[in-house]
Amino acid sequence: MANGRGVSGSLVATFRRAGEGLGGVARASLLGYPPAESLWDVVHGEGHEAGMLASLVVNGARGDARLVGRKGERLSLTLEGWIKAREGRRMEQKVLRFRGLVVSGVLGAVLGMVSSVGPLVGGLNFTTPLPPVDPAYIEAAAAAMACLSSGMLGIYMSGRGFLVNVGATLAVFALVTLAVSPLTSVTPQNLWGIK
Amino acid sequence: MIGVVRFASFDHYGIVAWRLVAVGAAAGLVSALLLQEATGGVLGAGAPGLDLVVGLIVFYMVVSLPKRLLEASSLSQSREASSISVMASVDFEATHSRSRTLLMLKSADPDISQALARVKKAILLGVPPSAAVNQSADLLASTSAADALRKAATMSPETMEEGGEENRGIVNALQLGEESKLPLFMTVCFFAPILLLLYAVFSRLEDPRSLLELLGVQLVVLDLSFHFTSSERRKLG
Repeated sequence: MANGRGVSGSLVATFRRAGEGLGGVARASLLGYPPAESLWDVVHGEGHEAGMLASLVVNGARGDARLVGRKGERLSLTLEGWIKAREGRRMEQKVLRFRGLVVSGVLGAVLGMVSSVGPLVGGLNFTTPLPPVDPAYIEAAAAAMACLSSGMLGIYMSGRGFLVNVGATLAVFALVTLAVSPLTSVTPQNLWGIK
Repeated sequence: MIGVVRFASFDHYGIVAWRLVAVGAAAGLVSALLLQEATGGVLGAGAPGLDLVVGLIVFYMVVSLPKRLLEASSLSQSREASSISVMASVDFEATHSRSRTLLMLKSADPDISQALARVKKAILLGVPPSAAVNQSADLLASTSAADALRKAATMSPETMEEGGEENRGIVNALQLGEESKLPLFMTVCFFAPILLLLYAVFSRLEDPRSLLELLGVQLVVLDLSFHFTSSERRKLG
């Protein structure tokens, strides 16, 4: 606009070298479509900030385009701030995803340990010996509980990527259960009877 | 209004308070009974306590629904307020008419769009711009969006500000809320299965039915805490 072009001319100059998505704006302008039609995809697209600026251009095309540019500059600064904040948030989300993965792994390890050693400890009794707890269902329940927790944590932290959390939990759970399995073959002794 | 306490969200959506409280109480009661039926007394003496807590949480979830809707609506409208303010300023300088400026305004937000449609209708029927805006601006959840419309109808374009402060405030509040609730959800996710498994081991709950009931308890606990802690996250997107 500053070079004396009209709105459509400026759109062509701005979007000529743009990528696949925005290249259509320059093409539509060259084909003679009005700005409202050429910028339709941008206004109604995914980017809220870009849509707001584009709708300003579309609405401003009816009035003084230079004025739109001057006023739009202030709006673009605000929108830039929003975009920067969103980028910062995206980076934070990556760190949170990693934290979620670590928590899922630790959860798998702890539940693997509890499900393996728990039945053994639960069978200990100093006075009246109890039959040992059958670990078969306990282990299955522990695996299911671990999957449920890490799945929810994954949905919270990374949305559709929750399967990674579940996979990490199950892998660590299986490793710990295998590592601790020799302990489960120990038969609990009646400590009351030891002289 | 409940007694002398007024709730802005209830007023905004025109909800009769006692009806929503009745619906919430019914939902809470049904949830508590369903949980009692589903867990089958696996938690022993602790079961009534859990049923009561779940019932109360479901009641709160139902009753606080208008508040959450109002907050989400306020965030969306405050985002749109900046654009409306600039567009009104541009249109006024182009037309030098407040009525025309208001007639030219458009918004992507459905609530603002609805309010604008009402304003346009009133202006076309001959109502003065300031009166037309005052009737509709009160229906908006965001103060900055309402101010943008009022200023478009009453003030000169130079005095119109871009108005992103409310949006910044809401976003900061939501981020702080999210930061506070994240550790809570992580704690629940981590300790709920451990405690339930220890309970199963030391209470000698070995049969598949009891273990499935404990899994159901865990699902309810996790689901409720997920709902509580992720509301800010959903709004921020």
